[in-house]
Amino acid sequence: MREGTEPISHMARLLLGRVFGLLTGRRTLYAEDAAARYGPELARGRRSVFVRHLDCGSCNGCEIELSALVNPLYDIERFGIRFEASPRHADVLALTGPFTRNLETAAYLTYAAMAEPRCIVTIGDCAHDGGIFKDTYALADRPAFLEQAVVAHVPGCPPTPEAILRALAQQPRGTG
Amino acid sequence: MADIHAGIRDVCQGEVIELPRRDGRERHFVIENGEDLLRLSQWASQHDYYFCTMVANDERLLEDHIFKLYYLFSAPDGFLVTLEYPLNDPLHPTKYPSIRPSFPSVEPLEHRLYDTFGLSPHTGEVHSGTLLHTPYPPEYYPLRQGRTRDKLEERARAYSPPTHSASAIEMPEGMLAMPVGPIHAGVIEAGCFQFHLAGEVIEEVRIRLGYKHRGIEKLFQTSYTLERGHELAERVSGDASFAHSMAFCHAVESLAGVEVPLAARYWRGLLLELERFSNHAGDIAALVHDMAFELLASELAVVREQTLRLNQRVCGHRLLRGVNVPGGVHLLHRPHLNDVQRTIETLAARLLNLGKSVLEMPACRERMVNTGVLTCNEARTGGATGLVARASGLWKHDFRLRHPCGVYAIPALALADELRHTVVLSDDDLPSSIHRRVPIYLSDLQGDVFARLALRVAEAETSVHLVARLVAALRQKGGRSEPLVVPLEKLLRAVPNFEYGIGYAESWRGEIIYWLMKGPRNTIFRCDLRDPSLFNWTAMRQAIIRKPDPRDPTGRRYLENILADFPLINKSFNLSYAGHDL
Ligand code: SF4
Repeated sequence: MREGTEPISHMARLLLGRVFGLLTGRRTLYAEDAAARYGPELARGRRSVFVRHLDCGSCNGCEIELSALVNPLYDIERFGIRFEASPRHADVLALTGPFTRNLETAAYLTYAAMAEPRCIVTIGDCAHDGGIFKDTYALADRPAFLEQAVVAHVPGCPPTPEAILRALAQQPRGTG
Repeated sequence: MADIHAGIRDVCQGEVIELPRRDGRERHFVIENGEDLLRLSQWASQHDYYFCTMVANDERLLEDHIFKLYYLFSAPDGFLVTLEYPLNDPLHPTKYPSIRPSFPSVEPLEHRLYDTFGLSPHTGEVHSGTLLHTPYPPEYYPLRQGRTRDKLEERARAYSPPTHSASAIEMPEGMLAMPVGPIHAGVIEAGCFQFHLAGEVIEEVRIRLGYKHRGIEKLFQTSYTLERGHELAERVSGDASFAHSMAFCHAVESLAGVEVPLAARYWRGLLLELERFSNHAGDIAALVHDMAFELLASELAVVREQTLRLNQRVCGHRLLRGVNVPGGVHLLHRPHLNDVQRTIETLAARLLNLGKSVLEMPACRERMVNTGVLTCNEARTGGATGLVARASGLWKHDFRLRHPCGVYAIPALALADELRHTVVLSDDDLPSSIHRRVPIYLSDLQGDVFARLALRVAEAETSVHLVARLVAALRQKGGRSEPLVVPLEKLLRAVPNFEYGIGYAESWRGEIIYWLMKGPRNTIFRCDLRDPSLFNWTAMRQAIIRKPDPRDPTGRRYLENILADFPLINKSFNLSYAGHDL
């Protein structure tokens, strides 16, 4: 590819892919790549999962992988999964970080703001049991009602985007 | 003359003792007189010294039985100068003279020391609660020696904080207070901003952080040894994992007095630049996304993702964790240099083309130019650092140039040449060996959002050139059998206890500094670390608030930002919450 023409041709490819997808009912080039990776069952989900992310003192590593999910190579929205701005709209709370004392109240309030039915998916080793930060004075105990709401855990430090995607896609879906 | 000896001769009246340091680029002075310290710091600020950090250390169980402060300065002549000040006033064992008048950037550190050590300055106000909020009992002081984790836990558990009551925020007439956070609307870290608005215009913003405080410094001291601390260092701030572990390893290596093998130095340099490239790509993408150019943003996000995948191929981890170890690097297999070279070339071509079109697009310029201006003067006095300082015109402020170490100190590679021409001073000043595809001129660096974006593009390009040079050097070296790690354990044991070592690395945000004091049996007696975000948060506040435009001679024009500009400014700084809160 010649230098200078690159981004245009790249955009053209993307557009072409979209048009092609519309005409033939197939997904775009990027999506094709992902469907091959994750298998068809993800793509089959008919309902949506709205996810609200809650940082409880992470190192930002898990956030990097969470936000990687919205890029076109994973394009999480095509599976009906969406990151929501407000906990009011969310079905799933994606919790990262070891639960620091300073964030305790904010974390309760966030969970309390969610509508039933709701659940929590913990992401990353330190959201499970404190991980590498287990032995500090700065962590609060997660109260039982939060603990009980945890339906899945994605291990890893940080977990790969694929792993997070799988875990989120398998959650009981909202009524949307 | 910027030599510190001249300063000491000129301004100090009491006795100043110079202690020898193993590293020839470091200097250490003990100053017992508070007045001398203040005068010397004033002298230093007049002579272009950069204040790096202030480390407090509880040495009450050691021979001196007091607290000590270590002030670290970066001198313009290339030395790292440490001023040790013992708090030896028996009447006020926890009071120290404040250097705030000469270096205002010390302020957040003073608040921090009050929370963690209970030390406070003679003059100048400090308030508690910057790191330890209301859930912590008063006088907690977790970093004092003897406060073990169990005792701290117990006290925190037994304490019931005053119940939260929402109190009205006092505002001047006609102004509106708007608190945002600590949980934000998006996949971002936690921190609280309180805007004071007059109409749309942001008059003032109070930034409250510390929510993510995990007690990392204490954790280093209680649960890690010098040989294993890098594992925690990697997890201080996830997006700068490699730079953090590199700075930590550098501190340990300087303590042990070893230089890592040449090939390991090459690899470290290469991976540090890869980290820089990938984060700059991500930042540019995020910024473009906030300006609502979705297609461009998606393209850029792909570039970013591809670099993370390259990281995975090179060392088995997308954030480059598990590579640095004290003494060298640990690679599972020798990565394919061709792959690195080819991938990064293609990605760079895409990034630079996209970056160029963003910089030239009128709609983008319109939003970025004159938005969130941090003037050169504010950057200098406020101690802004890293890319933020450079984008305000202090283009030489780069620890790779100021204090070259590791691969940047190898003259044959001439990496400094590339670095120096990241910003083009004038077209005829560019040597023929340097080629810039997206030249950024010094006049572009006005401290606004545009300048920070432009500089990210330019630095990404520099990183690519550096990677190319390092790949070439590694190829030339071949040397498959050469070890990449030198064992340190024995060497470290031979180091006397309570020696300290300084390590630093220029991450993509700015310099990260580790200060390590060795304890018995290779434990860490004290670990202090300073993330560049610490100073840059203050700088960001400066950039947001309404203020007179210094470029306007009449003094009637103001620089203002409206609330909708905030996300853009925030992204252009992209500071670390985790690195600040520790
Ligand atoms: S699990 Fe690892 S990557 Fe995720 S927040 Fe914790 S330390 Fe960071």
